[in-house]
Amino acid sequence: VSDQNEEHDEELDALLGAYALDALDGEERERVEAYVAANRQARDEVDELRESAASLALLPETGADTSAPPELWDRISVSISNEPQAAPIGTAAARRSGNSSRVATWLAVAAAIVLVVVAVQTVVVGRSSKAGNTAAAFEHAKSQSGAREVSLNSTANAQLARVVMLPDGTGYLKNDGLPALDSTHTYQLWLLTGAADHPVAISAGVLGPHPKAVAFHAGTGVHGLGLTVEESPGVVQTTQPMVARASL
Amino acid sequence: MSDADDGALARAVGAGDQAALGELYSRYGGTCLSLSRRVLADRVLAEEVVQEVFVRLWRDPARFDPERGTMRAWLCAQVHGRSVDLLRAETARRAREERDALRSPAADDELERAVSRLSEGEAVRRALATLSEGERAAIELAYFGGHTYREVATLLEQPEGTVKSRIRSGLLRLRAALIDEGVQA
Repeated sequence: VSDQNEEHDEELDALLGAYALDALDGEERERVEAYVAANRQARDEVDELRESAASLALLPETGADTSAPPELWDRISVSISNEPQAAPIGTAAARRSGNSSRVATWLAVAAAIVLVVVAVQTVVVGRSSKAGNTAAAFEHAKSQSGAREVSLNSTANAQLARVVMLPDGTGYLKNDGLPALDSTHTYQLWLLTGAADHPVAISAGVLGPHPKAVAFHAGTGVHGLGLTVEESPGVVQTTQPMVARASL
Repeated sequence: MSDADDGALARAVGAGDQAALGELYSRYGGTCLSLSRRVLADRVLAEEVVQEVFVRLWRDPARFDPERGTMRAWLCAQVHGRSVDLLRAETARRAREERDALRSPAADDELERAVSRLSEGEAVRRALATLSEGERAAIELAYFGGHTYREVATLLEQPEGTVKSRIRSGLLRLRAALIDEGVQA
């Protein structure tokens, strides 16, 4: 990113505080993002304001445990093992990463989602091993109190996968008839929220080209699930048709 | 490892040292989780966000540029940005509404008592107290509530331009106060 355009824009300068707090959206955020990327002084101000904002995170919630939970580190540790790194620190300082490139950020997020689901998959397989086979984790979930089973069906109404949802939002997907993809493609699971006739799809994870059983989490307001086929490593927003859907 | 400064730990992460990432997690994982949980009002989602951010740091450590600020600020910015993105995707909107409905002045008093138990948190509280009520409210609604400044303006029944100015002036004032308190360099 160059600093060729150092002209000040009072209107955009006035938005730097809101930008530092992620309190902009849409076209306004994109304009400030471009401004900050091109203007060193604006970027320095945003960095300083973000430093101040981060100090607010030190204000603890009442009664909340603010220690770093070891079980979360266990999951992170599983995710990063055998994962290559992109580049050592210092070799790319000029990239001015931060928020200067939303696209780069989202690609990184998409990649991270792959890792998260890989980790979850490991957990599921681990549970399955204890039970004797992969289907056991899914079957075990089915037998839990309040569990609900739904089918992910193709547009031709063929059952391609089944999902068990537990009351706490944990879900287990088991492949019944999803054909294996080549290594350049992957299945991706989506949570459908918002209006039923115009749903918003939020990624629940990238499942790989031939998933067997995976676990995921659905927050509140989810009324359906969908599966798409994407190019690896998956996407943040899909433009592909759903190859299978289920209503919750 | 536990005595190393953040810069040394960041360089060690860049060299592929998992223990260095573990030390950074020990230092800031709790703060990151607390921040995300506060924005999302959902512990499971918050843990996913923190996991994503630390995995992302591992995969591409050059994303952190030490010339632009501290590791804590960078991690918090990443966690906050991702949390707000999720919040605006409506996954946790209902949880936020429920959380907002439960907020009360009594809860704020309890928050202040909890803060007083931690010296750094106390210093931040004192710095926050130097802001005008309008600045503090706007910043807290935007940062912890995950609202856009336009939404904050609606919630506070203030003009958008006023809220925009108060967020910026409040953050600048907060920065000066944090420097005085020795929390920020």
